[in-house]
Amino acid sequence: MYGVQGMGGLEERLIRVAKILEAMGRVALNPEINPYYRRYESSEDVFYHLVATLWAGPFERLGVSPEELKLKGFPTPEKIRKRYEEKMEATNDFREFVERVGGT
Amino acid sequence: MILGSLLRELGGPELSLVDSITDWFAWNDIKMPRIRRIAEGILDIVKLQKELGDKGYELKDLYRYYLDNFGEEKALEKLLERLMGIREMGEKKAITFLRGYSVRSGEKLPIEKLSLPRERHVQRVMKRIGFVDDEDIEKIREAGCKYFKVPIIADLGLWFVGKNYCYEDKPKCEECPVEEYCAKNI
Repeated sequence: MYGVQGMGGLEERLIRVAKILEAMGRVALNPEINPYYRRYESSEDVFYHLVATLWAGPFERLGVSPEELKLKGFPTPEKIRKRYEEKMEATNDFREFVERVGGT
Repeated sequence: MILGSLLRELGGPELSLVDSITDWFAWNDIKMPRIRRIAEGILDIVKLQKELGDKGYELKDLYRYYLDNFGEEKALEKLLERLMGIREMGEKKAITFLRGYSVRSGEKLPIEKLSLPRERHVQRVMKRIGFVDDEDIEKIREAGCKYFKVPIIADLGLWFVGKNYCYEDKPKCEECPVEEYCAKNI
């Protein structure tokens, strides 16, 4: 045993280390230190944050940030949604057509 | 049946959108084996956004939507469940997203209720420091609630220590910021 002097009991030591780790976490979430944690300005920011979370592993390996994704022309949420809705509409038309001509 | 086959032939709306996203990545020379499944996840995010939009909420009102519809008791649980329903998301990513969301959105999401995610660095550091006897995730979550005010904030500190110093093999103890408090020194 090569204990550190004056550290107190196990419980006290754990509470102390817990405080250090929480402080480290708060520093990482400080927008002045970590600009990634700035506040959301729009729903689009939330969309890119969700996409970035989904891509966490690949992003890290590729070194691509959500901001870069936006700059590289990744479709905006609005564009993706519009395209989705257009396709849905096209499918509904197609479904109606098939039903009209008797195929089910 | 015929309609189903015809729609598959046509390549339905979901397939077309996923194709367009995977094409985009291909055009940008990004080739990942899980790309298609992740693109499907993006589609699920669009569906979530649409679902909120239909009820008059924006994506940034995510927590408020669940609060209004399920009440304070169930809102977080239901929101977490919904996020985990997004393909390729899983519990760890959903919890991590909610940490960022709660800090950045200003919504009164009860962040202290988010448990520590299942993460190898975090589990290893929790055990080595002496918070738990083994890396069982339930014991780690219990210890997380006992010792940290907000476990998911401490998660960042635990992860940082695990990623940069407390390696599986040959940990860099002499450089570690919590070395003097580590169980190995007691």
